[in-house]
Amino acid sequence: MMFGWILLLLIVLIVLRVRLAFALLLVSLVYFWFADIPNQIIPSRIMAATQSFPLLAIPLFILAGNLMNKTGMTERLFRFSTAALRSVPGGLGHVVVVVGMLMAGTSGAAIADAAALARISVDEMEKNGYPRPLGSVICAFAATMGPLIPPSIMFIIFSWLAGVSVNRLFIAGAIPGLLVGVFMMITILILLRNKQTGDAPVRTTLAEILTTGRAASWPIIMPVVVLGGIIAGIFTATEAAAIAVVYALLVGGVIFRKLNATLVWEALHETVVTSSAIMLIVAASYPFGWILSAEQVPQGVLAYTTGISENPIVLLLIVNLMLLLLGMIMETTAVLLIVVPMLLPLMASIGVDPIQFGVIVSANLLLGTITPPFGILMFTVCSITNVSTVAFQKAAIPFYIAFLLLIGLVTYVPAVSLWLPSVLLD
Amino acid sequence: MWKLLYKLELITGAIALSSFSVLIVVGVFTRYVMNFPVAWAEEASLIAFAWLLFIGGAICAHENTHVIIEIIMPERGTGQHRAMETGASLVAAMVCAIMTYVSFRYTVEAAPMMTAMLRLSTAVYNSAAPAGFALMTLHLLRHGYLAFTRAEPDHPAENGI
Repeated sequence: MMFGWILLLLIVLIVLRVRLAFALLLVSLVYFWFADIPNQIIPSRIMAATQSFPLLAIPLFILAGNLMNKTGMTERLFRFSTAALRSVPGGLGHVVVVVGMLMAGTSGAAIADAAALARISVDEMEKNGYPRPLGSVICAFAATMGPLIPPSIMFIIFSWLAGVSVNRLFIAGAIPGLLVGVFMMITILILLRNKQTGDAPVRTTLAEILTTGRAASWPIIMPVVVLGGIIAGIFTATEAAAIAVVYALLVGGVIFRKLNATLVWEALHETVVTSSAIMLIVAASYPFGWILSAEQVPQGVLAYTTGISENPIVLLLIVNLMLLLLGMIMETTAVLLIVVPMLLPLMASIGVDPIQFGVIVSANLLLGTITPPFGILMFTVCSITNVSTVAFQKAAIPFYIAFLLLIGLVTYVPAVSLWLPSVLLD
Repeated sequence: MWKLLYKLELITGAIALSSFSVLIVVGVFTRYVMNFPVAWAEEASLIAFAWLLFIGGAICAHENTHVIIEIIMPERGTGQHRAMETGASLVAAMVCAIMTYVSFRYTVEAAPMMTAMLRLSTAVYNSAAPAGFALMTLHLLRHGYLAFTRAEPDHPAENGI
């Protein structure tokens, strides 16, 4: 009963535009006051969140991504992919998908990827026969690979919440992330066949491919260094993130000679702001998680859901629908922090591996980032490309279908996420 | 005064971020290259992380970049928008003021406890919370005041990360 009031208060505060971190703190303060529990638990839980070594990876991966964007590495990747793929029908669409994949391997944040892709590619795509809304859609969907292909901030937070290995989760996301790209390329080819895009193939020379490939070799090696180190067990995810920062600094400063004090300061400033905004929510949600446990909310959810059906297929469908809806109306970090602790016991009861569940949650929430009303990737891309969200959604329908198919695959075929970690880590 | 405070916060945040980036790399380097793991590097990184989080929170409060879930989106500059911004900022400022007090008490009570490696008082990282929340309170009060008195606040609200 008490939790119902707390949840209602949280919703009211959010509707009244109180920032999420402060809304979470206020409901925790109110709960502890009414339940007559010492409120010292709140700062102790918050400080516990700051003393978690795996969470250090969040600001470090954001910093590495910011440094790479400042040094023009994205443009190099785009030029190389363009040279390599322009001779394929629908070339520029595939180029954006491949650049999205390569960027996903270096940055943990989807928004930075979406913004960078939209800036460098949509005008070019329009010149080559892609309708502007379709170009915007391809950029936004390509950015959804960021949180699935390692490194991923979403996975770092999930592993912290679920108490599972972040390295294992990183590797588990690789195949689903690459599948997003494959599904997108197939969708682009289908659209091309139906004459919804007129991008004609352009012949490129081998010399062009080699020249641009050499220029892009340093950014391409970065994911190999980061993931190779994690898979080989040389360093942890947090250490890999710090190595990625040093790599970006060395490549940007010494090899490309593009990095100066101003750009480093800008990257530090952006990282401090972005990571603190995320981390303060994570920290503020920790006392809220304590309330969920104290009120036995996960057990209640388990009892209620298994009361509807005990069939794992039906239960997974219900969970997917719930996550999709929540992802559409709430910010992804918030959904992760509030919903994951409630659903973990349910998943355990039907035999879903927590690693697979991490991938299911992330895929569902990512679809929410490109759908209204809270599709942050959709808004980011539309504001850069000056495309209306209605035009965006119309053009996105085939991609929504492809993404839903991927979610179905990730949900009902555990091997999609569990096979690679079992091969590489066991 | 606000500009100076904001600059100091930015410098502190950047130092904290740079420090733990360097410390983690030093930890990896000494472990593999010098075969001499620096055990305190992880602990020192976490101290810097705590300061980054709370000082970063104050910077976000100044820049109005704390995550907001926009269910109601009043047109910017209208009376409804200003009223909601003022109200939301004042509620957040009240929360931060309470948290300043609660976390200060916690810091003082936990101060006799020592960290495992460096043998420093836990106040070295716990004190980041009251300091950060106090700064957030100031920035949020200022933001609420600006939203109330002007058509446009310093920075428009961010709608997510």
